[in-house]
Amino acid sequence: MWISEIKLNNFRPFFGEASVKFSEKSSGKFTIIEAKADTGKTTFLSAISWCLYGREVENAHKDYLNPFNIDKKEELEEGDIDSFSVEISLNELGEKNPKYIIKRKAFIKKIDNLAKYDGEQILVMEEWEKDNARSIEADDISKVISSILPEDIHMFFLFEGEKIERHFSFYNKESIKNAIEKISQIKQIEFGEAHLQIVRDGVFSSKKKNQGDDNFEINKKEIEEESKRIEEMKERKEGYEKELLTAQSEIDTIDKELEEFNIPLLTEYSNKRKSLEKENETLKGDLSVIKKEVEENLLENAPYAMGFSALKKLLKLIDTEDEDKGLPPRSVRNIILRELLDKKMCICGRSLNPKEKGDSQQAIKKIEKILKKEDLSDVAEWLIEGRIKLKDLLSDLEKKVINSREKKMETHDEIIKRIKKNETEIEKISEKLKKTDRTKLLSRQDQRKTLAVSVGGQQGSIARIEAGIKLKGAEVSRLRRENDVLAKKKEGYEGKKRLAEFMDEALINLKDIKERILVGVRRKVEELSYAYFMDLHWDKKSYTKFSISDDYSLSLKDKNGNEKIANISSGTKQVLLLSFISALADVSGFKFPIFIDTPLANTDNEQRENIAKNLPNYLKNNQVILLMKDQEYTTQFRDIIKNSVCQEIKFAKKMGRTVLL
Amino acid sequence: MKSDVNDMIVKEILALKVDESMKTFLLDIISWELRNINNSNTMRYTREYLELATIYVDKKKE
Repeated sequence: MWISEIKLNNFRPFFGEASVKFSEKSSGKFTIIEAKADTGKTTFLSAISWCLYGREVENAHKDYLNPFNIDKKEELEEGDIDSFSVEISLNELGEKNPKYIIKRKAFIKKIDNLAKYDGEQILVMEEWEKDNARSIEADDISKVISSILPEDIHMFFLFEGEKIERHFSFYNKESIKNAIEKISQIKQIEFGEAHLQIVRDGVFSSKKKNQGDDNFEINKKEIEEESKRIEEMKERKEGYEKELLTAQSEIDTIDKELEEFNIPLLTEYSNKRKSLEKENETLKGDLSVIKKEVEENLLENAPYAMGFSALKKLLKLIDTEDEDKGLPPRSVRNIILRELLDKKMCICGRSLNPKEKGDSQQAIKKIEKILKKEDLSDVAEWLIEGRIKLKDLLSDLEKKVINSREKKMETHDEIIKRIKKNETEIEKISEKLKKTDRTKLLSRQDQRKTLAVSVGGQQGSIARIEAGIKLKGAEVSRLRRENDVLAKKKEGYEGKKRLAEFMDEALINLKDIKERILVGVRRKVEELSYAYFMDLHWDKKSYTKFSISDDYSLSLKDKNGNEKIANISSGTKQVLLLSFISALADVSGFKFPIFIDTPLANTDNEQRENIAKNLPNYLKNNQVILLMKDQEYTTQFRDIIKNSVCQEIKFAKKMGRTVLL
Repeated sequence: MKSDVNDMIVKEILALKVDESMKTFLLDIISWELRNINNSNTMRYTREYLELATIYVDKKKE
């Protein structure tokens, strides 16, 4: 069968009606549904499961709310009634028109701002024969659906790539056994066995009373009661086994999470943060020492420092005033002028002889005027000395206060830079550590401990129940033997004896068939898993055998006969799991489309390319729908498998609602 | 319901080294269970199983 259309109405992120039509050529080809995370890929699987069985895919949605679209709910007034539905059209292979149309609809009422179920779900199913449709009776719908795909094996057709490893841990033999038993459909043989046994136990009952009939009836009643108790015990055991599986799978999940936490790396981060914090403490100490030194220095030299600028300016004025005018310093100038008067000759050659008249007299008067006006000879020495002292003072002050302060401030700034750098690093590490959620880590570790204890308890309970079943079984056999003896005394014994013997033989045969079916199915799954693995895996020469042992442990041997199952890469593991699941679906014999959500989870780019190259060989005869994240469905991947893809469908989010592009 | 596993069950029954009446009886039981998935109505299967067994025991006697 192939699915030609799925209509969703107000189902989870699908607001209003959305219809996904699949290509007629989708059988034997891949249909790709490409979507970003959280746009409704897993919802799509859930919608199919909900439509067929009234239940969504297990653990797909953590909110535990019903699937009614949240935006639609917001539009409703308190007390309003609305509905959500999923409709699937299923066609026979090669047929354009649907053979079956299945629609499940549920009503909700808005109460206290929540969409609560209102009334029973409605399930309708039509069977089409050419242009004529016939409604299937409500009581028969689940039987017909079961004949298309029984609920207890649907997970091998609608599966999540990200979770298959958790469901089928290589080390969890129980989950492998459970899967093989489910697809073996030995339930029908087991029911047949149980029913036949009850009939067999009643063979010697008769309406006429004979000698020994009372004991026979008492024994028979006891056999019935004990058998009922055995059944109850088996149910309890099954319950414990289910709990055990859930607990073991939860332990696997926690182990995986803890692995992701990468504890050694976390310790490394934490230690680095500690050392950075310690370094910052030391740096902050150094910083306060520097600050104190600068303060003390400032206090000590404050008076000078405060006048530093003024003094420096003054010195500059003194030094530069004459220079600015192109003159020698004043004191030097006066000495020169006096010397010229003494020598009676100017440097320009003019005579400065007071006895001579004319120019000489005029020049002498001019020089004397300058000397008279600016004669600083009595203070010149002091001035020069003062100026030198001032210069020294200023230079000292520069060295002592300014330069030393600047140097210290440079160190101060460097330290601050380092502290800030360390703080950024500390913040980054803290962010990383925060993301790992230490509280969650500790609580998950605690949960794991509790689960491990409960696993021990469940195993103990299972063992006790098994022992009880054995004891009760022995008692039932004893009573049956006793009744066989009593039955001999009954009327028509010979005929009934033949009937009882015939049924006993049938019971032995049923048990025998059950065992052989399980072995046969296991071998077939083993064979097909390896064939799919060889189709999908890129390194075909490395592995030579895949097997499932009598105790349901998996084995993958390399060419030298070495066991590799515990040491394979994540990509090889994903390929092996995809092969195993596909083999289970194949062996079950149901021709239902296969939906794989996130098929390339846990693989790196190189492994993806390798898988893409081999993907066209995989599941050649089925309608295969791959629900891929955009980062999985890369351009390279698309290029490699383009010839095997018949249709690409895109889901995107617009205003928080999933739409089809 | 048509599946490879069902074919396997049928093949296993047919391969048994027992007489034809036993094979037919077992096939009838399996198909009754298939038609009545999870049916635990004691009255129905008791009557039908007993009838079937009686028929096939008689056939065997013949």
